[in-house]
Amino acid sequence: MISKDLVAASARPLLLSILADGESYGYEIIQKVKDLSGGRIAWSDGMLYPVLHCLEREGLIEAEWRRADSGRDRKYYRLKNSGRKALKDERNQWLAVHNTLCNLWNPQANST
Amino acid sequence: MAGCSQHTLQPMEPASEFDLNRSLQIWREQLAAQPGLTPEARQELESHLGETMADLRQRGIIAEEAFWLARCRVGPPERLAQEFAKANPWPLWRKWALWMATSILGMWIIQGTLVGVSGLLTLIQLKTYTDLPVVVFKVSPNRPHVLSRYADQTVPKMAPFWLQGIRDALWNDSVGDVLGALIVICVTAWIACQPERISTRLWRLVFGSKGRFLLIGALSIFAVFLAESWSETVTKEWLKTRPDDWIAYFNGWSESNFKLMGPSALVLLITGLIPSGKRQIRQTSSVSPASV
Repeated sequence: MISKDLVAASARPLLLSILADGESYGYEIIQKVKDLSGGRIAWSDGMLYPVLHCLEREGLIEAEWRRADSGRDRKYYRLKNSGRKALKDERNQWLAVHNTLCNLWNPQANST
Repeated sequence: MAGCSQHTLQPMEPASEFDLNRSLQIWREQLAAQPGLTPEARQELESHLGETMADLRQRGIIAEEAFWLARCRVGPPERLAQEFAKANPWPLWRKWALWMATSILGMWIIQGTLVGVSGLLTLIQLKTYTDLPVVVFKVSPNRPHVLSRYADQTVPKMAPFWLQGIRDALWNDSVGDVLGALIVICVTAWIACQPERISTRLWRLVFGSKGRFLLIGALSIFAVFLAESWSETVTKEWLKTRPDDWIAYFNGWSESNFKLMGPSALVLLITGLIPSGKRQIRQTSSVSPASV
């Protein structure tokens, strides 16, 4: 399992990336993360919402309550333009970390 | 998730005894008792609980099991409140400020009523002897500035004495009181908004124990009076309006203010008992390890 700190740190780029593919709601986001990570990133369900609200307050995403076909009210989140810019920055930062670690751990493969 | 795995080891109660609506209601009340969880956040968490339950039911899990598993996955209310407060401390800050302001306002009104009632009693006592202008000096010798304005008034004018007492309590020391109250509000709110960095222990003490409001109520009373006396000294030095009064004030500080401790604590208790009472529901109904 991935450490708690890393899970917490990766929440922001993960959420922005998921919402870049289209609007979604909390339960669906968690299922996507679970599927994409093969179960290695385990979010405690309720802890997702403070991060989503944080992004909403920062103006990176926007939310809207709608009634689903199942009759249940859901809060749908979608990425705003400022969120796309933030995602680009996040992506560059994470890729920089990723490349640095790859160079350190496997320098020969990367130099060829 | 440890709590979830424990739950499956426990013998299941008969399905007929499980009341989903009642269980949901208890869960809602537990969430509502948490400071810092806004109604919208609670609604969203409930929506999530519903989605999880529906998913589990589709997999053939019975309603009771689905409820406890979903509840467990969403997380314990206390932990949720902490996470929400870490991400956004403002709702908590507002709640604290409102709570403190209500308590202090209540304190002032009780203080004014006490001055007024005791003045009225003195007045009735004096009225049996004379209808001459009354000099009320027995009511509260420690706060002569409150009473001196009544010294030259006649008996009929003194009738709504308790209203005047309230007015005095609200306005007479308002600069010092407001300053003192603001200091206490800011300090307590600041501490409340810093759960991890400043003192995790203090956070747990305040938001994790049954007697949190009692403790905070008692501490607030002392803090308000300490801050009030300090700020009054400062404002008096600054305003120079009552230069000869502060010694009398401090001489009588303990006596006059400690008399107010009882009613003030009552106000704090009443304001604190509402969420405290809701928390009791969890303690009496937490039969499932999912509440861990």
